[in-house]
Amino acid sequence: MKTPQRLLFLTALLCLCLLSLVAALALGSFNIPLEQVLSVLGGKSPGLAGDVILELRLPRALSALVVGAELGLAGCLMQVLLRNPLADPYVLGVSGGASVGALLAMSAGLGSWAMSGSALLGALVNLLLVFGLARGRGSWSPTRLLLTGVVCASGWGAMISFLLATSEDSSLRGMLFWLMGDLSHAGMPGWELPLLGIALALAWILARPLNLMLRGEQQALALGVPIYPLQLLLYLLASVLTAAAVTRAGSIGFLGLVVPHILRLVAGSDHRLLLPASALAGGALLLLADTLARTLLAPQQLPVGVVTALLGVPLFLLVLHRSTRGGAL
Amino acid sequence: MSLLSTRGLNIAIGGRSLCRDLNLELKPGEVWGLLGANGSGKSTLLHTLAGLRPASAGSVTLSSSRLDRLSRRRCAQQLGLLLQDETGGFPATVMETVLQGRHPHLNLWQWEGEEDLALARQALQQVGLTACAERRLDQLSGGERQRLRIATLLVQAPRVWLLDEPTNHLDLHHQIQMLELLVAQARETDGTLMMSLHDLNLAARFCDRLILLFPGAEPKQGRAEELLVPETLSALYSHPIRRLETGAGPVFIPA
Repeated sequence: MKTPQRLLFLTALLCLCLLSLVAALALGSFNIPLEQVLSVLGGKSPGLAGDVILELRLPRALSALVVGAELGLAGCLMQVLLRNPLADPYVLGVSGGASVGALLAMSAGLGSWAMSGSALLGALVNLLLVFGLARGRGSWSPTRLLLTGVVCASGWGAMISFLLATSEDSSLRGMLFWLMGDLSHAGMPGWELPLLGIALALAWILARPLNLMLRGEQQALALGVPIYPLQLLLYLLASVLTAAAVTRAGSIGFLGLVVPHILRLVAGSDHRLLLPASALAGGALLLLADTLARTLLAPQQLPVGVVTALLGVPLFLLVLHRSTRGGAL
Repeated sequence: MSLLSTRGLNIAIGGRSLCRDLNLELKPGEVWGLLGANGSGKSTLLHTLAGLRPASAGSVTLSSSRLDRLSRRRCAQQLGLLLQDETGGFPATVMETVLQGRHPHLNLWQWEGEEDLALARQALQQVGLTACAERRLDQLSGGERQRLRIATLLVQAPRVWLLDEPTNHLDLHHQIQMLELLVAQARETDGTLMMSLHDLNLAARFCDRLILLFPGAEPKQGRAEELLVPETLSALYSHPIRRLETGAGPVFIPA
């Protein structure tokens, strides 16, 4: 793609984000007309509609945008780090560690703050564990990191099953919703916004070296990329982004795997375009999915993770099927 | 002054010593051939000279700086390495790949400009891949991919050219054409070139100096015509080799 095309593509994705935001604010258990939504956003808050938008729908919608962007970006970075098209943000066990933390807090009957803190702690424990073990006594390679992460993830999986099997029926539903990914308790995003901004800026600066890394370690080294510090940075960035997303919204599946691939098929493999595009498309897709999760069976709410997969699977298969870039994946 | 030199270089892999106490001087304008049997350490030596792996002892110097004290970027501005194969899970297009050769010459913020694009187009034309510019790597044949690697190296435009079996996958015509191109580029820029080869006739045709890696013994280096003799070569490959004199120069065939 040439530069004007890239800008056009990113602008289109940004518009998609804004459109999904307006839709998310307007649609719900009762629909609010468009002009009223805009006037509320403009600063006037006429009565009930204003309260619903500002207190309920806006925080949740912004959370969806931020979490989706974190997952899209983390997925893209993880696929470069592991040089594996099957990698997603959860492959190295970050979500497993966070889930165990969250479920422990839930079974102890703690509130949502303690739950978030405990999930974050679980994610950080996994981050250090996988990194420490993968390093071992030798150097670490993507394969070694992948194996260590996958095995740790299996360990967390077993602990999750254990906690589910031994917990009381009353807390089981909440736990299952959390595990499938759920935004219904998400408040206004705070520290995630600067985190996302910094991570995106850092990753974008490194986009050209990332393109080179996909050609293999030796080729990247030979062309002047200091590969080991870069791998470490990538691992930390992707893990912290994932931890932030999981802490806020549970483990929403599928998004981080599929968004970068859809964009690769549509827009090529240059990470200077792919990274911001993954963040924007991830945010838009999660927000759309969450709006559907609220409205499809209203007043009953579905876990958003179910909808992302229901939406993402056909979308991905369609793009893959129509793609003329045979063998791009 | 030499562009690339080693002092007391030891290389070992998996506890097996491949080369001991090697002192090399690669001077401007020289073309070196690196010969040896399978597993004698040709690739390992080239990777060590390019700083991809550390030496077990001794040092490599790249135009008056110790290689292990240079950043990868500074090193890649002066030294290019043609690798035997690369692994790519997410294939890019030919144009994107060849532009990656500009990486060491651009700073982090910079995008490839018209000048870089012109260099890339020129390199693709030199290796005969102009028509493939928008194709994807996985749609290329082995020989075309090898020429693409060579084009990336041309775009990198180093002064020290290290080539690991540059004739891999190439047909007869392209073997000669690519080596003539690479040798000409190295000589024009007053650079130096070292390539590992299996074809003795190509070594005789293109190299001024040779280094021979003997399994479990000291490497031998010297002028090509002194080392390209049947006794030495037969010992190198543990196979009798005959030298035939023809009007176009000596030809080596296995007996």
